[in-house]
This record gives sequence, C-alpha cells and structure tokens, in this order.
Amino acid sequence: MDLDYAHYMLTQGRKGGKENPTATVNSPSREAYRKQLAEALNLNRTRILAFKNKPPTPTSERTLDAPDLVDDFYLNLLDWGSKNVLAIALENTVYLWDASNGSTSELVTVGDEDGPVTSVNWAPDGLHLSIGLNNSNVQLWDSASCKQLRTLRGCHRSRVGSMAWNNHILTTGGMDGKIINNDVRIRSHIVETYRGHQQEVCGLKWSTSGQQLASGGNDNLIHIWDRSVASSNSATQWFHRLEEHTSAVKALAWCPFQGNLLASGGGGGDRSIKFWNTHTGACLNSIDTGSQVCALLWNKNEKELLSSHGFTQNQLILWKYPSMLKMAELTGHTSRVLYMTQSPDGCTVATAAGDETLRFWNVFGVPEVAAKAAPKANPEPFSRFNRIR
Amino acid sequence: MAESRDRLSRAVDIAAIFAARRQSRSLGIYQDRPEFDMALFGSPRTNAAIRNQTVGVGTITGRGRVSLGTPRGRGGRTIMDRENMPPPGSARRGRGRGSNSVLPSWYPRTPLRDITATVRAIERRGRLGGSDGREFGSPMSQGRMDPDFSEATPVVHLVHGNRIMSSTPTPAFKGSPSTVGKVPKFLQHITNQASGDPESLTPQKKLLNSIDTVEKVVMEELQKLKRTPSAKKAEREKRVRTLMSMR
Repeated sequence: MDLDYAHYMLTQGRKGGKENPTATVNSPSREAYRKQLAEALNLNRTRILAFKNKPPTPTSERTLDAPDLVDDFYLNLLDWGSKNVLAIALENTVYLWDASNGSTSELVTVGDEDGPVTSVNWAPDGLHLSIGLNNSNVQLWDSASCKQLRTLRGCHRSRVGSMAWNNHILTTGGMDGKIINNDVRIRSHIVETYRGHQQEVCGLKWSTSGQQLASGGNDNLIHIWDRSVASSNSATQWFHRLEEHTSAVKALAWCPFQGNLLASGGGGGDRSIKFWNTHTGACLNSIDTGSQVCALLWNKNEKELLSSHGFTQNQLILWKYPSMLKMAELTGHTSRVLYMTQSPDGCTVATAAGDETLRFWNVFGVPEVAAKAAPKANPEPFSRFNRIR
Repeated sequence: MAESRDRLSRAVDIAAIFAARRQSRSLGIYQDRPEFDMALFGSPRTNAAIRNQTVGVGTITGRGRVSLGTPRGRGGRTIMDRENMPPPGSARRGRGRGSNSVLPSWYPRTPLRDITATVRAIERRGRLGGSDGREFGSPMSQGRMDPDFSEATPVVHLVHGNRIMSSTPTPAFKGSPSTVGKVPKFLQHITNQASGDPESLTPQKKLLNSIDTVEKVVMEELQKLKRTPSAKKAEREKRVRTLMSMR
C-alpha cells in the first residue's frame, strides 16, 4: 500500500467535506482536475519509498566552548582519534575530549616562543598524537600517559600546518612547501622529502590503502605522490600534478568505497569541489558550491559527501554522490567552518570555527542505525529499493 | 639504547625505561633522551640562535591571539595569507572588537565546556528580540555581578521556560513563577501590566519583554531590600564590629 497516497486521499477528502458548506460548490470539472493532478503527482504509487534514516537535523546537536581557537585557514587544529578521543588545539594548548564520557583534559601547553600549535593529528592506533608547531617542530605524545615521546626537529623551516599518518610514517607538510615522510621509529626520522609545492601545504591525506598521498597547497596545486613511483632522483617526484583549482586547496578526502577517487575543495576564489581519478589524473566532476571550501568528509556508510565552508555563508552542505544534489544545508557557525573531523563510528561530525565553538552534528546517521547496519555483509542494506532522504 | 657522551655516571631507572618503551610498542616510537639531545644539538641558547636564523617569512612575527605567520588585520595582505582575507564584497558584521565569539565578553570561558543551552538561548534571543537592539545581558552588566555567573542561569531558565510555554501564552504567564522561584508576586504584577499591551506582538516577543521588565523589577526590589532600616542596621553593626576588633 502506498501510504503517501492514502494519506493524501484522506486529507483531500476531509478538506472537500469542510469546504462544501462554506465555500463555492466544487464543480465536477474541478473535481476531475484534482483527481488528475493527484494521479499525476503520485505516478510512482507502486514504488516503495524506504526511508533509511531520518534526514539530518539542520542544527547542531551539541556545542562546546573553544576559546582562543586560531582563525587561520591554513591550520588543521582538530582531529578525532580511533579511541574516540577528540584533540583540539586552542592557541598554545592541546586539549583532549573523551567522547564517551565528555571529560576534558589538557595534554600540553607549549611556550609562547614555540607556539601556537598549528596542527594536530592522531596516529592510527588512537593513542599517539602528533602536534605541529609554529616553530617548525613536531611533538609526539602518548595520550594515555600524557608524556611527550619525542620531538621531530629540523625538517621544516617554518610552521607545520598539515600532517598525515600512514602506519609508522608521519608525513608533515610545512609552510615552506616541503612534504616530509618521517619514520617515527628511528632516530634520524626523515626518510623522504617530497618537493613540488611552492607555497604552504595546507591539505595532506593518505589514501586508505596507504599507497598514495594527496597534498594540496596555497599554490592552487594538488599533488598525488605514489610510494612506488616517487624517488628523489627523478626530476618530478609526483605521480600527478592537478592544476585545475584556482585557489588554495585544503579540503581533501579519499573516497572510502572507491579506492582511487579523491575529492578536493578549493578556497575563496575557486569555491568548487572536484573529483579525481588518481590513477589517471583525470578530473571526473566539478561542482560550484558558492563558498570557500574548508574541509571535506565522506560518509563511511552511505554515498554522501559533507563539505564545510567559509566565506561567506559558513555552512555545511551534505551532498549525495554521485548526483551531487544538496541533501541538507547545516548552519549554526557564525564564522568560517575551518576544521572538521568525524567520529570513529562515522556517525557524528565535529566542526570548529573562528566563532570559538566546537559543534557536533549527527549528520551521518544515528549510532544505533549504524550499529545495526555494521554486521550486515553488504554495505548497503535496502539496496534493492530506490531511496530518497 | 642511547648513551650520553659525558663521563658522568647516572642512575638509570631501567624499570621506568622498559615500562615506557612497552607502552609505545604498538608503534615503537623512538623516544628522545633529553641529555642526548643536548649533546647532539648543543646548548639551548645556541639551539635557539640557530632556530632564529632559519626563521623564514612565515613564523612568529607578533603576539596576540590571531597573529600567526603574517600579521593579521588590514595591513597584512600577502599572498601567503590569501585565504584568510574575506572577499571584498562581504562587509564585516560589526564585531570588530577582536573576538568573533557568539558568547558575550563577560561570559566565563572554559575550554570545551558544554554551552549548547547558552548558545541556543542567544540565537533565539537574537532572532526574536532583534528589533529591540538589546545586547544579551546588558541589564546584567551592573557593578554587582559576581564572577560566578549564577545570575546568568536564571535568565537562561526563563528563556527555556518560555520556549516550552510559548504555545499557550496567557495561562502560562501565571505558571511561570514556578520556574523563577524568586519573587512570584512581582511576576504576576508585571504580567498583568504586559498583557495590557496594545501592540500585536508575538507571544515570544511579549514574553521576552516581560523578562526584561521582570529583571528590572527584581533589581529594584533587591536594591530596596538593601535600603531597609534592618539591612542598614545590620551593615552598621558589621562595620562597628570590624572597627572594634581593630582597637
């Protein structure tokens, strides 16, 4: 039974009953027109519309105070680790927020001459945290014991604004344009240097396979570095150089369900999201979003992409992939949504902005539904139905 | 195991080293030994000197919360800071006070404290009471405010209470004293005054207006209480006591 049609017929019938004594009499032609219209609008009466989740609420679920958060596009001050602990850097101090019980702890406050903190990134194990500083050093911390394990010095000449982990390799991107692979297990930690960017490296992401690294810079370029191809001897180390953005590229996100698909977002002058095949280097699609793109996140359970924006609307947009239709637009921040990360269970997204708030959004579904979906073998339940959200 | 190069003998806590190494075994991070670092890189003074020499364009130039890399503000337009410049068309929203926070300046800030209710109240107040031009908490910024913001929470509670009761405004006016719990008589008096308003305000606006009048009246009452003869006598007694103790 088509519940929508049934509801429509019931309400129409009631309306007709009410109108009769007071308003003009419904002519038979009007009735016939209404019936035709009803049929036309319910063309797909036989199709079952299965609503998988309820659509994301347009307001944030929770807001935390984030005083002194630095409002700089080129930094990456927010990350959520696999042990469900969120790390955020507020000027010179790094705080850890345990999402399971909501408790806050201060990890470290660096000195004024070393700070502010310019990037934080959790290792895959969710226990170790790397902190990039304005003075070009990188500190490695053990969050369980709150002890500093080591400091990586001498790799960059200026601030370290972006970092990405690949097992035991910590890749750091600096304002000097260099990308350095550091092996944290050995004393002389610099194992490889990727040169290609002429300006600050603000976006850095390893692919899920760990084979390719995507980097975005203030020089409007995206470089794809492949571990099997890159060598310091060749003239160009990069696997691909993607030049189509017209502004700084900070937002990079590898697709979880398609290994060589990369989504990138351009800054204030570009405002577009582009999709790339990283094997061939081809641009598959380009969408104009209307606002500076600050961060991108893929939904791990659905084919959806979430983008966070800055000038001028400061909104979050949820897109359906691959149709790139806007499914939801989330507002709340009053300043650019510069930093975005998602929870390890993939349901909650945390965003921080220059308005000094850290907001949580249940945009990727509620945890119970995700937990139910997880044990199923195929990643998409209800795949035989057509879905709208 | 890294050994220091000087010939001083130091007590080595093997158990601690082993425990520390075991903790990071999953990643096997090489741990710095601070004395080893000193030997390698020299004294901290020379280290800082080297660092200062190699400082490039982008590092520390100024202090302050938002000065990072290039100095912020109108004078600092460089290509390195391009993305932080708003587009020329968009006007600044008049929050030129340095802080872009949604919270008022007097609100005590604690990192990662849950401010969901506060932010929602501020947003709602901004939406509904925008024409009044009131800044949140302006009647509150009198001298008597204590650092603990317990006075702010009754306002928030009032707003919350109003949200629930906005659907049924008139009978709810009588019911609101239960949420305030402070001076029920005045509320009834005020609401009787407010209901005689000829303007066609929305129920929410009416309630917000009544909140403001309630605030004013509460302040006045407290001032009056202070001025009563018994209060004055108590104050005088206190002063006398202190003076006598100083004899």
